[in-house]
Amino acid sequence: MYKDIDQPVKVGVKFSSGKVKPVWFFWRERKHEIDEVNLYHRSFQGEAPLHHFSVSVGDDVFQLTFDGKKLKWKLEKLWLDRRRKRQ
Amino acid sequence: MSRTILHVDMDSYFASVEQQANPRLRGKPIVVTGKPTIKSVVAAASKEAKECGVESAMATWKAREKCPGLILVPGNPDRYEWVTNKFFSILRGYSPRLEPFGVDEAFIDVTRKVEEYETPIKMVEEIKEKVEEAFGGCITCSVGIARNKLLAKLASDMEKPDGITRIRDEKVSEVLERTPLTDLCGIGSRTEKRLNRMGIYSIPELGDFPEKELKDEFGVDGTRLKLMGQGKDPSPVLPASYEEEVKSVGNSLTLPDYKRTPQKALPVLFKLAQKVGYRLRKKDLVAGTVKLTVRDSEFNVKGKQLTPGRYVDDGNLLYSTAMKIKDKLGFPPVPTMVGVRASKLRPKGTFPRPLLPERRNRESLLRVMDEVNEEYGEGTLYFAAQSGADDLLPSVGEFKRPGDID
Repeated sequence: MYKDIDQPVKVGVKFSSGKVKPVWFFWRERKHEIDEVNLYHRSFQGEAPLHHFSVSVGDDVFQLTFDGKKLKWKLEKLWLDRRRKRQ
Repeated sequence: MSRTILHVDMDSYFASVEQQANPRLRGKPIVVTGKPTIKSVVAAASKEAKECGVESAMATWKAREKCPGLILVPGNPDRYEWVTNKFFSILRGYSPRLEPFGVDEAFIDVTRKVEEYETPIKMVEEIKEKVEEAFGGCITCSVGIARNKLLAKLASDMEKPDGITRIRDEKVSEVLERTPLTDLCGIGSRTEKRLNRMGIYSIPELGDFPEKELKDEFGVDGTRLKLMGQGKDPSPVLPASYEEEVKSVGNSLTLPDYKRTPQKALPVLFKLAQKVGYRLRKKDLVAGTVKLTVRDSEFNVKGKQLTPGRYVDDGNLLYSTAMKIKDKLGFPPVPTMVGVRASKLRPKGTFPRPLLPERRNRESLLRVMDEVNEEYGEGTLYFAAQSGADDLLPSVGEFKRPGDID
């Protein structure tokens, strides 16, 4: 199941061929190197465009979101397997 | 000239998108639901879940009974909308004649484009590569190729998932002979029963049946059924823009969290109605029917339409009609999307100018407001009832996108 995290994070991105790709993020005093961007999608919350990146870090799956109005990143969600729950 | 029509159908759509987003769900039986509660129903099942007998619209408790290791994933409509739009834009690269058929499938008339390829199959292989490039390997599509929409749809269902099936002209009779009646798009179990009562049990029998008798039983659909029995379908592939421009004008908005109460959603709906009214006036059209659409927190979409009593292009009248619909339809306690759509459109010029002075004044007021807003920016002048939605600025987000309802 997904656990809502909703915390601001620092994210490092790479710009290439007109696309933005997150490559790492800092969360809980740890740098998480992103292995794979699994899927990108964009939505709107009212007027604000939100750019969502589903990313893998090792076996973990996170959803990072960039708010195009506030120009801020946040860690939105974390996938938890039932058998290996973590805080 | 024979047409080449593709029917492209995304496989286990919502579930595949979730498996693409989350590698930990790949290869596992998953279902996408409204909320992962026992009362919810399956919106989409992954192919692994389907192998256990899980089907769309099944109650989640029943799905869990059939498939004990089943993983329930809450749906993410924004994500699916994005992927759908991207998917359609890939297809439009092959032909502007694209007709969406639901959120995850579409017909495309590629009669001209296909000439650039050695075979239609080569072209479809290229489309599949582009889909994989855009989204990743979990999101696949099955494609049917044939001379019309009926056969293309039939073909895409023949090899799933990730298949390509072509029904060549010379093979149509052979294919129809071994295809059950209900495999044809448009013939459900009720129609099949009625056909059976008439002594029709196969597609060739339907094609040979006297048209008059079919019309006596099914009315105008009798002719269409006869043609279906012969593997014929003269209907053109109608691009979405055609329907949008000619048949209806609408706007909807996925509500931000802080607007998800009926009280806060209604000013948004008012604003959407004003937007639709403005777009009608810009096109010199008036609408004979208004439709209200709302989505609740459980993913359920409800919609109903009503006739305002006269042809209108005034946002206030569109809104008041939507309110009448709301009273009949009910409004969810947690609305997540609202939309208003105007249809049965007629050119305004075909109606006489209003005789009553108050209606003339109203027209003048709207014309002046439109002119001011065009000159100084949208939202410069607006009705006070919209003030509850004025934090959703004009010309941004969904307000900017035309025809994004339903």
